[in-house]
Amino acid sequence: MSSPALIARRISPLILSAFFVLLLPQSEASAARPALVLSRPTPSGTETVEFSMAELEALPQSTIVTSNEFTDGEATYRGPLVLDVLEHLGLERAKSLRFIAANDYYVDIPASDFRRYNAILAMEVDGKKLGRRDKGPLWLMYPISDHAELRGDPVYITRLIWQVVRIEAQ
Amino acid sequence: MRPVPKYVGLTVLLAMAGFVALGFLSIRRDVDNLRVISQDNILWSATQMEVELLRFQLSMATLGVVQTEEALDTALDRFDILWSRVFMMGKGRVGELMRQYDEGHGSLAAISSYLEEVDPVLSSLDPHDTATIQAILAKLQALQQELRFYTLRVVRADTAASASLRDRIQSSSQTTGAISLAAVLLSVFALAMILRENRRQRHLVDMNRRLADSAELSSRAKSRFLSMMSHELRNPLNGILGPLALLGQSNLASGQQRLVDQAKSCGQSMLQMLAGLLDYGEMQDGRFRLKPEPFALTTLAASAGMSLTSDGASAMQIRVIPGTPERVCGDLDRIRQIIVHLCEYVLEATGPDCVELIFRHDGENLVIEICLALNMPAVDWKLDLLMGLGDLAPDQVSADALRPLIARGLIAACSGTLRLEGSDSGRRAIQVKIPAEVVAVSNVRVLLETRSVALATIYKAGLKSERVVFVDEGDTGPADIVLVDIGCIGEETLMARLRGANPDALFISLGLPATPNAFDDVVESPSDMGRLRSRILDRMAS
Repeated sequence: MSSPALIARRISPLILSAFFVLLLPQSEASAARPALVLSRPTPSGTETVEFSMAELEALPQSTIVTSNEFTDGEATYRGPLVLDVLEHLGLERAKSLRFIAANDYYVDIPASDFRRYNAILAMEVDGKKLGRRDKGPLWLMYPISDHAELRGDPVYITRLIWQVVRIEAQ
Repeated sequence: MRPVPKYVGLTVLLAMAGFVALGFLSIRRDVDNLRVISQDNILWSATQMEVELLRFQLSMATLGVVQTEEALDTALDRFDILWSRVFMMGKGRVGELMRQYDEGHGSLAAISSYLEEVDPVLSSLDPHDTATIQAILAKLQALQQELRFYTLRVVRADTAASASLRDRIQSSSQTTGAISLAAVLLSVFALAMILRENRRQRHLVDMNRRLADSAELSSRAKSRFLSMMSHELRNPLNGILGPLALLGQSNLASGQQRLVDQAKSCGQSMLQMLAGLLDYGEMQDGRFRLKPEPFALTTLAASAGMSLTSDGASAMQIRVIPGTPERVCGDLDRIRQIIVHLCEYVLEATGPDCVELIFRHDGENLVIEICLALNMPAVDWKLDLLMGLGDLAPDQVSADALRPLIARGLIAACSGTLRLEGSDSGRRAIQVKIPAEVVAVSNVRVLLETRSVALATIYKAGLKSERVVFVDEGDTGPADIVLVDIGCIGEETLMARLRGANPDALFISLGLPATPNAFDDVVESPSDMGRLRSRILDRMAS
């Protein structure tokens, strides 16, 4: 199950996909890209809403003070509530949402999580903007320290997706 | 069969509790192990680093080919993402585990060191600087190999950790199995003990039931014997008392008269005891029945006084509190027995200076109080004996306690209560309460049919009462009682007329008639005014 050959088989599709991504026309990759794209399927195709960093900053900001498995000690995270962002495309009542990162990693999260835990899309940590190298500019953050059931739960560790670039309704 | 010792049950309970605790801890340890191993999965982070390094490598290769600013931007973007992956090391729990896997090898340390080294170079990189790009690509190629080895180490460590966990869970499951088996064996043992104890208890219950049945049978036989004996003794005793009474009415010398009176007194006392024993025996074997009937309290007071035979009984003051209902419903004979037994006991046992017997009614109960004035506090224990035997065993009690025993039994049979009250001044009171409904008494109309007016006048004087209304000539309305002088009988037309005019009346003959069947009651001795009054009172009560 965990032999090197099997690991190689698992990661080879990722390597190939990365390769093809890099072969896309450079003009598309380098265009003024939005910070976040929301999308949902419609009968006629796909409906999307794009957010720039400025637009996300203009939304009401919430603060979470928590620790997690990827940082030392507690830190103060700040950003808009995920529910507020989802409302712009009416996704707050969606059953499940797929969060996609800049490196194509994705995780499917039930929308009920955001109503229950008031998760945010963190843009700042301890007053400092999150850069790409610091898991930014958008890092999905739960108030883990406030909820015992979240602490150390592998499911919620995988849901702390960083470098979020796209949210799709399932 | 010996009982199971208590410590065996306690030991079994403690052992079961211990097994439950061990099983719980074992399962909890398994869960914790699974939780830790799922948290410790660093393979994903390692492979992601490898992928991101490869993507950066590809973006640099593309930059070397196309040599455009856009390609440089893409390469810088990939560099940042790779940076975020590599510099997770050492931060948080995940970063700490990543560092542990790299200890002694330095693969990640080499990559992070190179990223910091090349960062300023990339910041100022010219897209057309092919030499620098090639140099970076060559270095990245070497780092790719290092990172692959790192991933392999993570894979092997994960495999080892999984194997260790598997072994731990296997060991734990064996422990849990052993605990469960031990718990089952212990449960079987406990069940066997419970069944054994249950069988022993049932055996004891059967044995107790047989003993109780035997004791009940023996008790009934004794009670029956007592009843029969008292019954058999009463007949010859009456045979003695009758001639004694006749002897007492003859002309005897004063000394002989005193002896006869003493014999009569003892005989009466014996008769009371036998009556009490008969009732007590019936109470013991469940054959006792009360016979409640309306009676006058004055009758009870008078008959109780007449039945007392002890020394000092003649000095006893008996009174009925004014305002007490004339008649109540109850078992007159049993209530009289209660009073007699209590009074006789008190008179014999305490020798009081003064005794008063008081009757009253509190609305629900007939209340009888025996008030004593005592000069000897030492007799208190004798009065206490009225209330029960206390700590004494039945075989420790002398014959003195027989009268209180019979009295308490009769009081209980009448649903009554017995209470002993006292004061510091030496006055004591024994109070008996017996439920007794008040019987409403109404006026009774009496028609006198006598041969002469003089005789009627005599009867009217003898039966005069507030409740008795005599029907005179010319009065309308039927009478309740018709008293007929036998001198008038023989005139069938007279009886027919009286019956027709007083259809619901009680017809009583004054004297023995030739046709007793024509009357409801016969008073053989016309001068027996007491008997006549009693019949009239009964009529009032009914």
